[in-house]
Amino acid sequence: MVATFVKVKADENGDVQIPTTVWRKLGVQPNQEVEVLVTPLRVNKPVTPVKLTDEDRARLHRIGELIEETFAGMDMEYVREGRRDRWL
Amino acid sequence: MVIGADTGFFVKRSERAPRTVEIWGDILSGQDFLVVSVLTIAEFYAHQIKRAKLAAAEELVSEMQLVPNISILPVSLEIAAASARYRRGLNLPTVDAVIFATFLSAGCDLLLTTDSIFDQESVRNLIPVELLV
Repeated sequence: MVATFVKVKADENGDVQIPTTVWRKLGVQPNQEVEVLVTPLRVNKPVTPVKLTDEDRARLHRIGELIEETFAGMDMEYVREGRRDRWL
Repeated sequence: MVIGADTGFFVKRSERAPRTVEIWGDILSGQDFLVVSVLTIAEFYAHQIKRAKLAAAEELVSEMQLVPNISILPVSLEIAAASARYRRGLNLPTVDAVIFATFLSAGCDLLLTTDSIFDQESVRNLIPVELLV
């Protein structure tokens, strides 16, 4: 099966609907139950701070750990050289 | 406050620099929001590929996309067009100009960086700049 890119918008409950316009591509019939494997390519978030849930806070703690693990020792001189390369 | 975090912010955060730890606490408490350019991700992945630790980098970026109060922004047509003006008008290199335009388009209140090229009056007239040490 060829992958089909479907852009969806979650409602206030976080539920998403697959547009009827792509039903035929997916081979879906009305009222048919299907299983969907979802990998978000990009999540558009409003750029404003919000109060975090406990799950969000746990995730942010994990992000902090990963930053310490992965960014440590990053060669900023290499980064600066890359940025100063003249292109265009 | 909406904060534009340049690549140096994350390096300083990995070193637990006090200012970055303070901001991290403000993100946790819901006071601050971090905006990150995809170009920072490109620089970060280059570092991780060199260390053969791309999996951890991908986990980090995946988690950052899922948590509120952090946003990784792509280079849109609007940002590309604005960056050209900043490149010419402020004499910024292309990568810096794109990152700067990204922060401005997101309405950032502050730019956090370790790159002194942003520490110029013409930049600070558009967005407050804080150089991390």
